[in-house]
Amino acid sequence: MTGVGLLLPEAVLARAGEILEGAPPKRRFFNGTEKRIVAAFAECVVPRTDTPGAADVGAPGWIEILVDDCYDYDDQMDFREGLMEMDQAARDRFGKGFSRLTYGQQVQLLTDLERSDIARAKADPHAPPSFIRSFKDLVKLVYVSTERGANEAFSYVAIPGRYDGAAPVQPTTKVEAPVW
Amino acid sequence: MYFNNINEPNTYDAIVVGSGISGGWAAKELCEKGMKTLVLERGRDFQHVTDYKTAYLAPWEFPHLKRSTRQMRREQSVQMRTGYTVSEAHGYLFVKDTEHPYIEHKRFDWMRGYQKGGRSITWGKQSYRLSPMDFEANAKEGIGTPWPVSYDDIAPWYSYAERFAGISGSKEGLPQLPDGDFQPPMALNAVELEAKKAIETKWKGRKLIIGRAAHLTEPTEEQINLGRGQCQYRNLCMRGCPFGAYFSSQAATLPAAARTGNMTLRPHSIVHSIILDDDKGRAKGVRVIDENTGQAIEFFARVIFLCASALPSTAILMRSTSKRNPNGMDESGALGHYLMDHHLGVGANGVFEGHLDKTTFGRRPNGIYIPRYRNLHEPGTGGYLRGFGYQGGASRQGWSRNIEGFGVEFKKQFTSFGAWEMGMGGFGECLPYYENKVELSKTRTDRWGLPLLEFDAEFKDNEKKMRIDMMNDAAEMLEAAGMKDISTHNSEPVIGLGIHEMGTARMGTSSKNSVLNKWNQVWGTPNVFCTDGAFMTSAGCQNPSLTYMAFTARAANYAVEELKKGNL
Repeated sequence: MTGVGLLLPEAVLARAGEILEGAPPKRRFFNGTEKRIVAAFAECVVPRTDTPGAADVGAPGWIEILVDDCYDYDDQMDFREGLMEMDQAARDRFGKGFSRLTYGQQVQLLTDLERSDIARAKADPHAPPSFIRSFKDLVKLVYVSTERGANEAFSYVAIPGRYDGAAPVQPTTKVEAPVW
Repeated sequence: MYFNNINEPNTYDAIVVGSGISGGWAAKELCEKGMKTLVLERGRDFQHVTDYKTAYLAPWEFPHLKRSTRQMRREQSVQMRTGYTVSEAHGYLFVKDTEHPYIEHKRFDWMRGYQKGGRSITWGKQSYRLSPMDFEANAKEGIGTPWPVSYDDIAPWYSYAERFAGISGSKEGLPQLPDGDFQPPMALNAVELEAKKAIETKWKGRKLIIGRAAHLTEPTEEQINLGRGQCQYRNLCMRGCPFGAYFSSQAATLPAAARTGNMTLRPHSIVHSIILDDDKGRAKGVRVIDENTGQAIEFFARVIFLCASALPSTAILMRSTSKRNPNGMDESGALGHYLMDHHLGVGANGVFEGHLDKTTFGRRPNGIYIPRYRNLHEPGTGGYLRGFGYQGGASRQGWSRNIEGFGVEFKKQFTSFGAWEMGMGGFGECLPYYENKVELSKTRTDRWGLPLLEFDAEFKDNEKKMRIDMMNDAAEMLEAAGMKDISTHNSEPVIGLGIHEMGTARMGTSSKNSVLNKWNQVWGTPNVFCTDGAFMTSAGCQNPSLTYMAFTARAANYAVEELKKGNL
């Protein structure tokens, strides 16, 4: 884990309570503990590097809105349960709640949890879908859909005006952010 | 042209029911031939460009980043079955199922858009001709009833429709997919070209071509004069195109009709039934229910075009009763039967390991097409009739692919290119079955007092057998094209999901076997025409909208000729 990564937990915690400029209004769907876990998880998926991290783009606030308004009630319950299970896994292993772990511990824990989910899915194709995977997918989706995520870490072209089916990939060519 | 005494209230030369693809064409043709035409749209008004309120929004400008909310999904519980219709970007162009219920004895996925322009705003734009063999198949195989129209009858009208609508595509000289009057084709990308070479080398009868699609690549003067421009490769078509680059009623036919000064378009006008004059064997007009006020109004005309889309037009014919037509406008017993759709949701995907130095720029609102080859050059495996085509395409994997891990290493991969992937999904022909039917409910009505539609239809053995080839052939072709990690899928096919409802008021050779004659006229009531999907005698495996355009233009031309001769 890089030094940059290890510095992140404080930065994440500091941001979790802020209202970022241009970010959507705050919700009260998650309680304080849940908000902190969501923010920490999101930053483990997309940390700040030379491009914005999850907190920088307001991902935690968007996640709360989407889970609040878009998730079916059953899925909301599963989501909350998933957060609590993740928190318990942190306590079992490190004796602290997930959001109080160092960034390195968080990444290590999530990496291991994801691996065991993948192994379980391989052994049993009927195993319930992994919470880690679906939460990660949500963070990815939110990140690429935000203005800074789409424009800084990806490329957002509103009106391409043409189609090139063999455009060269240069070291600076960014992956396209979704519009659809 | 005033055939009626136009000074009589609510009286026109022609009435067109519906303003979608077929209705827009009927309006244009009738108005351009001088007919004072009333267009009745059951939904709200919806203006070109100015009402496309989401057309320019970026994902972050939507309250939920474009995702559907729980509330939307509750209100549009049927519309969401496609998986793509209900989104914040364009969900409002589909009906609320809570307001427009229907009854499913078997599952039927009915996608509807009740606004001016109908589903011409949200359609897929794939535009193919039926071929001579499609028009001959029923007669040759003794399936359904023979088409009363040959390919040669309709070919000039296909050309006429293509030139006005603007269809981009490549000429291929294929008997099963006749060429048309095309604008320049869109491009295949690097990996699609590899697949084309490999597939066409291995199988002599198979071709991989660029989709033929109703997007302008080189607008004509006529199109420019209507305010239409070239495709900008945004692929946000379903929100409405502010450039008028794809064919819709809004962009093309309705402005052409309006500029004649002959069109009156009345939104919020639900047609209850056709007013019949038994003594004269004619229709006098239509009964309308105002969507908002519930008021009943009658409109009169010399000629009536039903273009409400297949099932609503069928329902209008069923509700149009008289002493001579106690069961609606049908003597054959075919009305409401032979419901068809295309079956899809079957195919394969794979990963291509080369061309890592290339990607695509721009978002092409189109893909590849593999025209039918089964039961033409190659027999179908296991003995089924007819065949299927494929749509699909290749693209570079990006942000959404599965990547293990977390933290900086994960982000590095998340923001970089994956391999190329390619997928193809089949569109299969469905045979016309008498048992596949829609009826008017005898017990339940909607909020306007109209009987709900009851569906009892399903795909049967012929379609299910065909799907095995549809799945396996896709995998074989991807393998031949050098793809790895090939996965196949074949979901339980659901009728309706193709959004190509067809056949419930079919054309035929006599009033004994069909609802419509070869000019799309209702047998026994010659001044009523039906030119939406209801007329289809068989389905082909091609996307059908271009066929509706051609038949509508042909029927409108015939109607005016007959009026001039005093025959109508």
